[in-house]
Amino acid sequence: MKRIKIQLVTLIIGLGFILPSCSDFLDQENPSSASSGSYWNNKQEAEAMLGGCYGVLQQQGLYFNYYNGADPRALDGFGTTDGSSGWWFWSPADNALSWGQLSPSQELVEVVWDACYKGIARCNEIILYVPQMGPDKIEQADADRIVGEAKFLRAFFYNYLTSLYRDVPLSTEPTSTGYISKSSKADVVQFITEDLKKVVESDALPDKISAEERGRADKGAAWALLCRIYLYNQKWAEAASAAQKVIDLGYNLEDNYLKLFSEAGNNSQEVLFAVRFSATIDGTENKMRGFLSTRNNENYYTPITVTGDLLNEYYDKNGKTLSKTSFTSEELLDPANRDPRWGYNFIGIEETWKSDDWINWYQVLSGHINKYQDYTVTEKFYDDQDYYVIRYADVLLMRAEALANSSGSQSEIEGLINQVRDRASVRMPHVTAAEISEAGGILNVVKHERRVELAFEGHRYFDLKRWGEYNKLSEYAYVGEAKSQVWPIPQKELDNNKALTQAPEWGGE
Amino acid sequence: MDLKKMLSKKMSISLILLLFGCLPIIAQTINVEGKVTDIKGEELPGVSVSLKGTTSGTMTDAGGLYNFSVPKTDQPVLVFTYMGYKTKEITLINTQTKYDVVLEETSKYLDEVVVVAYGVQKKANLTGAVSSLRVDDIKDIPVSNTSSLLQGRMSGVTVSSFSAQPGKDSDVEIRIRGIGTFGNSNPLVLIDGVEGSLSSVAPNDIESISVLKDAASAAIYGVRAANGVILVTTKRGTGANKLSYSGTFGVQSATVLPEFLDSWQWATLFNEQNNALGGDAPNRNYTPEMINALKTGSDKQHFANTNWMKEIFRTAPIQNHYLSATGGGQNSNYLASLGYMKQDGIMKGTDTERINFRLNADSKYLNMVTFGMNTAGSYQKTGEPLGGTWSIFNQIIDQTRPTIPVKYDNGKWGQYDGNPNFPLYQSNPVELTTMSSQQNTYKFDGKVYLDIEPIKNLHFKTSFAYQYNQANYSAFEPTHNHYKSDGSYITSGVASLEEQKAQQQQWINENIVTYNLDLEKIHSFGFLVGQSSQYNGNKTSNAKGEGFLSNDIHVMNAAKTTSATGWEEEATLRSFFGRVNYSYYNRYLAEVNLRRDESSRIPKKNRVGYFPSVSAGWNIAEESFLQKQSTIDALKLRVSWGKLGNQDIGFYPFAQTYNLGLDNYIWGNNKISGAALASAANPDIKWETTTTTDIGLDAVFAKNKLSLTFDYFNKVSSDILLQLPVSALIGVDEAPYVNAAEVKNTGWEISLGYNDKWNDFSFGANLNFSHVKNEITSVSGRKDWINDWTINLAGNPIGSYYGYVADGLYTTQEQIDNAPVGIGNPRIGDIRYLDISGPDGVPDGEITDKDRTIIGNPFPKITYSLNLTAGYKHFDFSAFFQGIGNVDRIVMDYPSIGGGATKEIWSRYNASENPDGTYPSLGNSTYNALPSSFWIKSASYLRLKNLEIGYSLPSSILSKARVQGLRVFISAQNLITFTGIKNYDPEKYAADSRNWTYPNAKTFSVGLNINL
Repeated sequence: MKRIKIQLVTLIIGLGFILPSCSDFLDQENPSSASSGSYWNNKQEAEAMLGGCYGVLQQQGLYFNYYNGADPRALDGFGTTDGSSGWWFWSPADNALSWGQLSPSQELVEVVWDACYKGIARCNEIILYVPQMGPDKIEQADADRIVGEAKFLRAFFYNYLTSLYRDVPLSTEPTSTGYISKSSKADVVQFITEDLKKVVESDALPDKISAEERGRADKGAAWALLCRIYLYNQKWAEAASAAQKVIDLGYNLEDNYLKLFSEAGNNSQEVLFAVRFSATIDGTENKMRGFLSTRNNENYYTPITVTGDLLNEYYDKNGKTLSKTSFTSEELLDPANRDPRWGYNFIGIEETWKSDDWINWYQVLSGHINKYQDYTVTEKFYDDQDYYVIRYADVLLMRAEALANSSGSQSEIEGLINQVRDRASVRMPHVTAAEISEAGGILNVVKHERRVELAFEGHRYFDLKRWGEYNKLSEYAYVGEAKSQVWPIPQKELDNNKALTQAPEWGGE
Repeated sequence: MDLKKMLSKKMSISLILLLFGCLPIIAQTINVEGKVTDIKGEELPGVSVSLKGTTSGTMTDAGGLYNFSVPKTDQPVLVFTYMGYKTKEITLINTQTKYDVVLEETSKYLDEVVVVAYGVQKKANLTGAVSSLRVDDIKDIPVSNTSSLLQGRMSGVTVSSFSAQPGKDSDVEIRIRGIGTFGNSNPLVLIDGVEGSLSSVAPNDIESISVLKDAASAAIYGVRAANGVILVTTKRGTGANKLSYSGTFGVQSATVLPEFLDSWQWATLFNEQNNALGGDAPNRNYTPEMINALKTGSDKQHFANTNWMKEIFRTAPIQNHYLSATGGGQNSNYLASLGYMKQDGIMKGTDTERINFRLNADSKYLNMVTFGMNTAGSYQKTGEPLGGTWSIFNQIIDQTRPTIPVKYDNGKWGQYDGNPNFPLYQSNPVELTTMSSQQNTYKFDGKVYLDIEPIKNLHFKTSFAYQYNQANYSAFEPTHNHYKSDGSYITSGVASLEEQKAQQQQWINENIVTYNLDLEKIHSFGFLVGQSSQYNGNKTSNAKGEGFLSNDIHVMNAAKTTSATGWEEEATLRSFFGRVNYSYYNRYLAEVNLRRDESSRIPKKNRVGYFPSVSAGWNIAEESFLQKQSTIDALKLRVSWGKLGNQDIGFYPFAQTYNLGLDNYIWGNNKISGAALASAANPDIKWETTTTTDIGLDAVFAKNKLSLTFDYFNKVSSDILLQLPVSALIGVDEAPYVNAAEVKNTGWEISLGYNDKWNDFSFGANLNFSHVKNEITSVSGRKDWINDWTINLAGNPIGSYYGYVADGLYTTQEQIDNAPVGIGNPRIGDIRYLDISGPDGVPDGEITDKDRTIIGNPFPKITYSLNLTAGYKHFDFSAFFQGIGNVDRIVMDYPSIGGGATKEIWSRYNASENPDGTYPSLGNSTYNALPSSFWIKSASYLRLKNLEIGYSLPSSILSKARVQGLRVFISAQNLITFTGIKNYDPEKYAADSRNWTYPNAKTFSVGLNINL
């Protein structure tokens, strides 16, 4: 009897187990992430995606410096006559530029390419999907603003790409293969400037953002970026008028030049757009710090040496070039006798001069970068310093340059330069006719002013390229003039993207 | 998936069933006694004596005597079983109470039973390729990771022990018949049928290990089995209560450490390099006075001669203790065990300690219902220096100069030498070993099962197993004070604390019905059908705090800022499977398997996979024409074919995902949790499939003295999932998976065994030899992909070494003048790369990327081992040799001087100092360090892996002390190694070009086994 009962129970259990389990057992959603189908439900989600676009600015290839940066300041330091590589350092920029290893398979050309296109792909997601969300999920004004910022960033990434690689694929919506052939630089520029102009002429972006939103792009930033793109592409009239739009919005220079490049300068109204870095908020070390701005007291431990070439660019305090100065070379080493920005931007000049006699044989005068630095502390990378991308002095000088190239009013150009020189903590003499003639034209005075005002902020490498002054680039000595004009497309990209061809200078068709 | 929901549905009925407890049978008994001996009359202790059809039984004592109260039944039959002997049955006669029994030794081959998928099978009836290992023979080798015990023990199973770092279980790698995927190639390890890792079972707990090598034997595990299956069966109690202890204590030291140059030689080379580099580099040279100080040791505070490798290594103890209690009564049996292992690493700052327990129990009711359980748990604590041991080795190799003292006279750790032209601190490797991270691992494994046999030979078996692992990691990095010899110092770094919690859960429910049918001893059938459901889930959270007020407070609350991350993943698998065996007179054998798997890891449309296999065997020795001879005891031919799958490709390989918190940003004073496209979708992916054909031969000759097993296999893995690099325009960090490649492994394996006995002397030898050829047969989408030193290229093995072909060094200016142009600017003394090709496939007078070719093989093609055993009276002896052949490693004593430099570099070329140098000159390291055949060396080796001598006390002495067995032994591991590799252990990782991995250890130990 018992035996039969157990057989019966066994049979029942057997059936129960053999029957298929509930059907959703095999459909596992990833609890750690979402997909485009399940995303885009509200403003917060759209803003998080925008945060991911901004986040690309902090990555290697863009404004990430840290131990092995390839950021614009590293390009200035390793890639131009402003800086020289003091010792072999494991940085993509150092290897490629100062040691002559620029090539399609070099890391530098890869990381910059990858970072920019990663940013573009992320912006494309927003630009496609946010307008589809509809009013029940996001208010129109919020959607417009988010899309406007994505277009701002996309224009920024494309400008960075075309400035270095010239002709690049123009990807404007999400792609699953990436197989897009190259567009000419002019076409890319036309697309992004028209795109951004529409944004900035609409009400998508606020004129100026409040301190609570510091880090987001506003109209001032967008006009300034437009100005930069126009200027980089010799569209002088458009550049000048975009700069004027910024000026009309009302900005001022920060009185204290040194304070500007400290944490206290983050909130300065001179800063139009900055990449945000904050150890306090992120809870990690500040990644704009690194070997370029070590922020420690260890004897200016940085692989970049400021060259005599740059140090000698700075006038004496009377506004005289070093060939016309009345000061002795000894006196010129005293910052009190120089353009004050000489002392603000550099450090350790005297010391090098006196103690290390072995340096004489290749460098008469050298120094170390003081911009963004704080040599008095030991908490190396632990601070909240932002990395300024566009500041007002740059905008003034961009307008000056645009006017100088398009026969603009001489007095306005001088006025713009003088405005930069009039900063309370600088107070350098105004532009004179003698200065212009010695420089060989007002345009060269603008170039001088850019070099001394914006030293080691990540502009010089791009300035030299667009001015065609290739022989002042470090790579020039290794790869020659043709290859100095344009970076190669990364070999990795060519291997993985059937639609692309290499730049002619680098062996392409 | 809701665990509760699943369980309540599935398990409630079975649990109710468990409550069907039955009353024990109460009956009268009779007393029988006797002595059990072997053919030579030697007493056999520990023989199990039981009443047939019950679990009631006892065991013989040290003198071979037994005494058993037999319950009265109709026709009582006593069963005598003893490992290695033929089981004997004796029918009791009413009047007789004394039964002396003689047991015959088994023919190993014919009667040996091996564990196979979901059951056991006589070796004689196997049709697949299965290797098995009795762990009893090797369990006393002192190891902290059970995986390393398998090295060389079975043909076709390649075990690489890349390091001896305590607690680093993944450093021991097991590969079965080559590598068939670009993803995870680890075999499936099933411990009593439940997925687990070998390192979590104590060797002493293991009864046997079987390795299912071909598709026929593993197909029933379907999608989990492509890399092969290792079945671990733990011990269960039998017979009389028995208490056992085994313990070992050993001391370990590194098998080999690099021989470094003295510091004055190092400084000389450093100067040479600076002079060659030019520029301002020579200004950092050591002056002749400094070099003299290094040579004479006159100013050791500033000019020391430190061999940092020697400083961080030590001789360290390892100990293992194991205690178990086993027994079996009328209706139930049990095994309870407790293990303890403690190992200090041979490198300072590394150690591990583990405690583990196990309880296996079975209980039988009504002679038809068996209920059983396995429970095991462990706690393990592992310490290593911050940043891992890699960071310490890297510091020594690349950074810290041998001119720095370990400690100054003031007792502070040395960080500066006396060269004023290099005023930067260099972290002290010995000091770094004092700052450690801790990992605590907690593991729990449990399984209950129920086996019902309602009619004879029909079993219904249901089981539920649950596993929970948690690993807590904690690392506090203090701020560092960098002292000079005068006591002044600077401080660097930010005090930070990192804490990680990782949790893994798994449950599996299996339901199996089996039925065996024997038709008049002519046809015999075995049927099996089953179903299983499995869930795996992982969850990790990570917290980091920075900016602590002091180095003494290590709690997150004391951090100035904190940040946290976390992620979670889940996967499920549902399967149905079946098997039919058939044998005709035990002469013709056939087996068919089929498994149907559905996995959440594969997109819906490709989710169902079928994995079939068929195999056949012919026991030729059973044929009448071989019955009349006595040379051949057994001869069997096996053929099998089958398909296996691989799902170990991540949890969501097909999904396009937005990751949250991927790149956070800051607006105002707030963190914006950045979301972004993280991986692109490929909704078309399907399983990787491996198809294996195996032809095998088993033979036994000369009265079981000589045995032979031979297998040839051809294993093709297709649709291998790869993350082929994609265009950056897609914007993802992780490329989508595509089914893109095919890999073929072919090879053969042979095992030869010889055993013999002459009076008191016994001798055995076992030789294993395996050869495997690995080849990528196709890669769709692109020709190859290169990663630094390695390439995956169709027609060549996975991960082949790739680089330029070196033809010695340039020795004359004339050679330089006629050298091909291209990469670098070679000087005299630099490596001479050969121009072997060009854009058109012919030499073009330039050294370019096109001149790179395959220069080495990282996976051993040949593995072999020889185990010699001998016994004389109460002594036993074993020597185990293991080796690999046809394998290469990168051995690059880097041609530049950073930190420590091996003695090889002293033979560098230098025009004035060493014009006959055979080693690249210094100062052109980017050129000389390019991947080239100059740095590829054969890493074949032969090792005396284990040597053991034991002595068992005679039972005449032991019986007085009421002890059943006592054995003492001494052993040595990795005693001798024959290899061409200098300065490094030849078993290092394929990608390790210098000394970045922890070496293996040489161990001497003593041990003791006692049975009470």
